[in-house]
Amino acid sequence: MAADIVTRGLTRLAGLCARRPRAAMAILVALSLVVAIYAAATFRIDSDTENLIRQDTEWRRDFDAFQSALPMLVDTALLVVSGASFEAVDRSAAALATTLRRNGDVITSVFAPDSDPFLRERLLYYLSPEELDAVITELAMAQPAMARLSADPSLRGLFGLLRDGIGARDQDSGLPATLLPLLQDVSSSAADVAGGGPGELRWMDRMLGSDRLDGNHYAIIVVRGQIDFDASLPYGRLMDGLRTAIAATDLPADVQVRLTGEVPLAHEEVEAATEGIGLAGTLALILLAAVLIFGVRSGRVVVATFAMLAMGFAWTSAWGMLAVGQFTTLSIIFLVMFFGLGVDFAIHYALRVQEALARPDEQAAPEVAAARHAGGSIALCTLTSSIGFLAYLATDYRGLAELGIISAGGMVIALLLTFTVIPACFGLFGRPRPLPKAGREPAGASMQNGSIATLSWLSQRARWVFAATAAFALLAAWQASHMRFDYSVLALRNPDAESMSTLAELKAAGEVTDYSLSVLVAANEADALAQRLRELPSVAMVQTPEDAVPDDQTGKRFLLDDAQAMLGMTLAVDDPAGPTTAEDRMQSSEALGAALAEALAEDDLPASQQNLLRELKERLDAVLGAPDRHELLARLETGTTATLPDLMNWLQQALDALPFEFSDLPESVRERLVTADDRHHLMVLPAEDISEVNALNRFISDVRSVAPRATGRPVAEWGVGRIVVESFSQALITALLVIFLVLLLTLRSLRDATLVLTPLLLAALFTVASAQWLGMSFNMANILVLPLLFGLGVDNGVHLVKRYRSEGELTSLMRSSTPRAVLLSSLTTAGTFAALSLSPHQGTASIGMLLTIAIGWLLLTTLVLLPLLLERFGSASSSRTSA
Amino acid sequence: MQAEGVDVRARRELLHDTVADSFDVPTIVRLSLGRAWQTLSDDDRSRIEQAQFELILTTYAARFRSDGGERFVTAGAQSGGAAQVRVRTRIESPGASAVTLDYLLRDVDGEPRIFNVIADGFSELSMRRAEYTAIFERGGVQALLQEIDRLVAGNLERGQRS
Repeated sequence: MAADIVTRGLTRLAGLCARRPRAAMAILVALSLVVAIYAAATFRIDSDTENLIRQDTEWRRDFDAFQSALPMLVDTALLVVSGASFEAVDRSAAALATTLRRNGDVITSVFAPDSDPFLRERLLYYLSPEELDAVITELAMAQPAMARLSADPSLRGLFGLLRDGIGARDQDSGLPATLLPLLQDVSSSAADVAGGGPGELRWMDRMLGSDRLDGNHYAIIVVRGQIDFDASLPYGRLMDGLRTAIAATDLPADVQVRLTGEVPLAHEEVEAATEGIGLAGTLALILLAAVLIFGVRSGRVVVATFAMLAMGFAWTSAWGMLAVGQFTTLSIIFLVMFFGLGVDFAIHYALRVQEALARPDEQAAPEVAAARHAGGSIALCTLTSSIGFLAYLATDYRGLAELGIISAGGMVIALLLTFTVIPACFGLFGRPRPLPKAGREPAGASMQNGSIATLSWLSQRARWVFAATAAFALLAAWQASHMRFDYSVLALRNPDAESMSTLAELKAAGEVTDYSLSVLVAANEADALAQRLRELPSVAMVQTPEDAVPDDQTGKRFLLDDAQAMLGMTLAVDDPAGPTTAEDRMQSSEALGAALAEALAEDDLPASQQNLLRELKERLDAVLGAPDRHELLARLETGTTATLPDLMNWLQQALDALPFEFSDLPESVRERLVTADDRHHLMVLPAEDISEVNALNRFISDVRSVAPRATGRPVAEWGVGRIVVESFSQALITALLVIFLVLLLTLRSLRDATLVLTPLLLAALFTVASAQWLGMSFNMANILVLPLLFGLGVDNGVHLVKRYRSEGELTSLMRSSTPRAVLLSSLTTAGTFAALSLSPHQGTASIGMLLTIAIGWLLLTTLVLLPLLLERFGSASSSRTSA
Repeated sequence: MQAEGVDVRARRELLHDTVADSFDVPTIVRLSLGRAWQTLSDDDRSRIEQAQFELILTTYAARFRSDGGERFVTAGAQSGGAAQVRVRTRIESPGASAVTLDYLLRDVDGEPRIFNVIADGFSELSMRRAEYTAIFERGGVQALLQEIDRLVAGNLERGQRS
């Protein structure tokens, strides 16, 4: 019989290693080192979530077609330049674009529409008529300044202007209204310069009135670059290139640059996943050590267990790379789960060895005896766990199939290493204490007695217990039926990561991001389709290529004519003044100071104006009185006037700009909106927050009801979600059936097989119900949990049922090493999973949480309900299994 | 006293037709109010235009009060964008620095008319726009008319003190 062969094989292995520990250990260590080096050398993580699903569906083909029609929209990184000052953001974006373009070997394309000269010249057309009107009023306010400054864009010109303005004060209204904001700005600049700053005067902001517009201004630069899918972090090089460019650009203090978009999202996810694993792994080991030390109280067992885990880790990593070729953000979880699962085998075996040491007929070769008795159960557990893991193999959810392969291999590795490393360690370092120690009560005996007492009490009321369980199960079933599945990949990611938080901010600000739907439609149908889409309740707005061109340009051209009338050819200068010298600047400053003093002395201005002048005088005096005043004045000049020539130039062009059409736009803008075969790209933005899965469903089905070929990241994820749900059902049923069959074959009893499965099914039900009650939902990651639970949970049932058969009755079962081993192994497994729940990667964390809850229920049903069931229904009349 | 009062009003009479023919008051009002102009009724518009005309008229009546030896020099004419013509002039007064006045004209029914005066770089139209839009925002047509009337009264008073 297969089981016997396996048991015999394991027994022989254990015997070998126990007799020749040194040789065994040397071979094991050497092999482990080789394998570890192989794993380290080939290690690779694939973070492309698209590869997690086998793809050959209609929605996938739509998505691929879209991406090949508009390749510049794929694999992009967005640099989001933001700040309260339009001018600062504008200038920073331009500087950043320049820096990015210099790094041609990593960054292959840079699309910076906000800095494009054609679009910048026509900036005024993109304002609404109200905004344009306000800008013209601002220009009117600024006109005297501009007249003077276009002739002499220096400190001399600026201070001369201020002097004249102050001199032009009126008895009734005080200083000219147009002068006041300018005085305020110069005053602030002077203070800034005195304090070591650049003293920047933002003329453009003032002109556009953008400091009145609240909220942030955004300039988005879209970048594509080198992606190295063979590296463990494929986006690493590009991300580094971007961060270097940002650091190398001189940015003012009130401007922020953040990264979001496909590439940063994927990159940060991989980072979160690996970071989470690192953290979880460390914590798991600590928890493990704690449970072992307190539960087992044998240093030798702990050492042997850890040796086995260390080697197992290396072997499993190597197996993963060999069998699958890569780890994904999902399958890397197994590296942590391995600790919890591998330890189970070690505990069961080691405790059985300790028991053997206390039995006279097994004392001589305890490792062999333990292997003979426990080998079968442990091997059966390996089989059932692997089945649980492999349940996804035949489905389209490749990501979990890969996890399954890696995990199944890991279980086999754990099995083999348990029966080799542990005996070898005992041989090298000595055997642990026997259990129970002759004459002494074993550790935790009081707890054991307590639990036996409780069980006895419960078994007298078995019927009540069963009834209560049944009722509870019904309640749980009702609760569990509300459980939903959230297929959004975004839900798996760390919401605090920069890429995620920036994405959320852009969505809130109404900017177009990846998370909109796209429709490609023939030119002549575009408007009609856009209109029908706009009528949908879940659609906030539809952008068509025409939206790239502002409307009512004729009306705006008239307004611009008015602006030109107002400025009166101010900007055209006949003969501009030359550059200033230090003396010029000194002279102008002193003259201004004198004018200020004179105005203040007269004392007949309104109080607010008096304060303004006084403050300016003080600040100017501070600059003039400083030892490095020439340097300060030079800096003040640069800060207040250096941007003027370019600004005047821009203004001239902007006021002259003629109305334009779509075909006049730069190629880089047009190609994203109209394909080579003249199809129009419509972008559909959602009205609700689509990170909530019901809203996402509504959005997608609404849009696709009007435009069946609509595609985009949301549709891709929705399609993936459907596959995942199908895979899940398939996997669950497969796992259940196959495990049941295996149990039937090995336990050779329908009743026993059912008994093993009952606590498991109940635990699964209670788990889903509690998750639902806690507000959790199934997602792309934790959907793994249920089939996995069957594979893991079955172990405990198998151990208990087999032990019960060999012991014959409840009390001796509870006194044996088995319940204790079950408790300890469950605690270690739970501890490992609990450690996972600390990962910043939401997917990993939710697996951790759900599994911890599941193990909790499993423990309860296995250690309380199963013994009662065994006693009530499991009469030993047909026991044929070996003890 | 009577003789002094007659002075400014007489000047006003003298200048009336010239100013009416030279200035494009409707455009001046429209540009001074910007978008707000579109919200006005025809009635309001003519009231403001009349008041504005008075203001321009009395400003000139008040300024050119005595012959203190000022010389009015035309320094040339230039064509500018948007069918504008710019006439550069200088006023030279003995004992004071010269004042540059640029007149901007545009075509109205075949006749060139002034719509903006730039005194030493300060565009009157700009300043008027800044002031009028602020006043209009605060108190509407009424406030604006009140302000213009106040300025007219001030001009007449100043004109008398010659």
